[in-house]
Amino acid sequence: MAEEINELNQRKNTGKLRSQFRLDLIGFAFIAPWLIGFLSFIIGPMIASLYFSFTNYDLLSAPPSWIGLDNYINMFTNDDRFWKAIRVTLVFVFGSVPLKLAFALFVAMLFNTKRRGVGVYRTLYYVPSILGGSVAIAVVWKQLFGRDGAVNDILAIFGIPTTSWVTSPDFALSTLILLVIWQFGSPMLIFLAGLKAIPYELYEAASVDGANPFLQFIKITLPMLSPVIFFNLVMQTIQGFMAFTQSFLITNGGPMDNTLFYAVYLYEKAFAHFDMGYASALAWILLIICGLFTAFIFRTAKSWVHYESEGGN
Amino acid sequence: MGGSQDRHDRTLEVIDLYMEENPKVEISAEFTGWDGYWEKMATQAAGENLPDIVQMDYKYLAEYVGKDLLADLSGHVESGALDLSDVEDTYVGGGYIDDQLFAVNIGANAHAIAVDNAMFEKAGVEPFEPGYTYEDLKQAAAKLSENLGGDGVYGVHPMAGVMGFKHYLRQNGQWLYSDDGTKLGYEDDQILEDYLQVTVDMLESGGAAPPEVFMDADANVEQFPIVTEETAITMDIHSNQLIALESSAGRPLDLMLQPTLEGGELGHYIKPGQFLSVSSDSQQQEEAAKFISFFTNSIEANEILNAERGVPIATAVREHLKENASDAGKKMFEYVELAQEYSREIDPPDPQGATEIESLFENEVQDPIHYGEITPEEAAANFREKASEILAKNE
Repeated sequence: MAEEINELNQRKNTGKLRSQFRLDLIGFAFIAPWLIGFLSFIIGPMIASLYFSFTNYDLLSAPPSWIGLDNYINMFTNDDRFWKAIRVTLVFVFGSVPLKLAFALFVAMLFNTKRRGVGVYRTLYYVPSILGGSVAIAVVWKQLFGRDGAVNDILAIFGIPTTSWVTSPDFALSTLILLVIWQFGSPMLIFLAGLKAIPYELYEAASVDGANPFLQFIKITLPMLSPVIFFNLVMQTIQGFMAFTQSFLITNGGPMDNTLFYAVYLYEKAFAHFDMGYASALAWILLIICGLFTAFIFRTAKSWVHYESEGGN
Repeated sequence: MGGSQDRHDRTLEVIDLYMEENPKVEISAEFTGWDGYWEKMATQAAGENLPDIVQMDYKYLAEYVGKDLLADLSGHVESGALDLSDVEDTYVGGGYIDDQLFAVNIGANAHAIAVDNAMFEKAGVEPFEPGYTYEDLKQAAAKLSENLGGDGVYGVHPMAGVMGFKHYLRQNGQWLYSDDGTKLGYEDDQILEDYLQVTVDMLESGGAAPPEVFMDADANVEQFPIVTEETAITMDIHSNQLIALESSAGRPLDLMLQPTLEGGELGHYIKPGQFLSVSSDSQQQEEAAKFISFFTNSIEANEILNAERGVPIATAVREHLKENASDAGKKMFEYVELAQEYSREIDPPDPQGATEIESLFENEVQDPIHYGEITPEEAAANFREKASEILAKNE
């Protein structure tokens, strides 16, 4: 009797296993398009680049030979341009991200009112971001801020001295930062959604208590919006570190490496100097830098991000 | 293929012509600007899918041949698929490495400066004659600025670049790289200092345009300030660029030799402007060779190309084109002949790492000199230190 039950159970189990396996298989089949893409275009290249970063692979000649940590050691001890690229990128990130977020929030608050035609404005203001990383907008920027550009024409009317902004060692980086701030659309949309989610009663109660709009902004809007600010901050910081198009197309890293974004330096190493091994090592350092900054932001989040679900504050 | 829009259009037309005459052959062209060209080539080479025919440059020839990426064409020359019977040896010489033909020159060039003699006349400055010196250049530049200036017109668009420096080294009987390519070829930093001092003097005297006038143009001749009559002289171009320069400017410009170094040697040489090569992966090497032969010998094709890449190498083609050349074309043909009189043999192709040396020169010598952020002494010492490190990797 007991044996029979055992056998029955066993049969049942294998049947279960088989159907479980079939279910899994169907699942995998459905996600296969994504899975294949992910494995061959993300995981595969990542593993390859990790391997290359320990070699002297120079793109034209295979096979590469293993040189251990040489690329990494060289980078930190013997490469001025690496440090220059780090400096430029940090200035770019710290200069553009806070300003971009502040500007995005400012515009979002303007749009969070019930006025006629606000929808049209919202759409219009989002347009620069759709064109965001595009080549066309970089070319336009180069033209606008060039020596014969529209910006100089306007400045000249007011008698302000003009220069070629994009090729001036003093102003080139600021010009690029300005471009990125102008592309505030996507954080703005996210802020707008966040603002809409703040219950109106809070403001009502506050104004009954006599809080002025500024105090309301500090005490209600900012804390209620902090998860959204947090999200935008993380995303924009990572994007900032990976910025490439603006520098590559407008200034090509120059003049005198003053706009040498990290990603541009990496590209130059890989495709102009054919030093793919070194470029791979640079890429992994960039990943680590992004990781560290993101971790840092997450660490500080506890003290300034308020979640409604945790009881709020 | 790489280069300006003008070049793309002409080349496409020649390809169409060839396909009309050879209906069995289908050629598809890939184009890139000069900047992106070598990056794209490298990626394709790494993926082992280079096009059958590629445009090659003297600068990269050694590197590509060293990595077995180009096919030896001497067999096709013997079989007649690639007909070079009408070409003098001096014009094909640059394409040979170890007695194997890896590249066919499709246009000979020479280092030059461009001048607007009408502006010289307007300013009351004597036009340059071959044999003029660096001192003459400085004086002419200052006088041009003074007499034309006041509203943002300058004597010279300076170019304290690696191309001019190589020329200056040759005039000093030296070369940038040592024979084995493991270190710099010149011992005395004074040479680089003197070379840079010429530009510094011109910037200080006001003879040279300040960087904001010319930095926007980068390497696009179409945007050079000489095009808009903002300078009367442009330093360091290749003779074939006169055609693009003149057509953008819409007024006559002229070519002139580099300044002479007093007591120095001849700096000029005839440069194989562009090569066509066949990639070693190509399945259609013979067809590719036939196309190159067509490119070289067809008078009709070269009428379309109009020597935009440089002076054609086949004698019959060259003579035909010279007879029927536009004014700019004639000037180029005559200039290359003139430069030949002032030439000595070409130096060997650049060693590996040369592209890195060139970005180093641009970023840490040329640009800072233009912006006055560094002295020639500092620039020369810094360049030696960093360039030596890069070249030492070739040991």
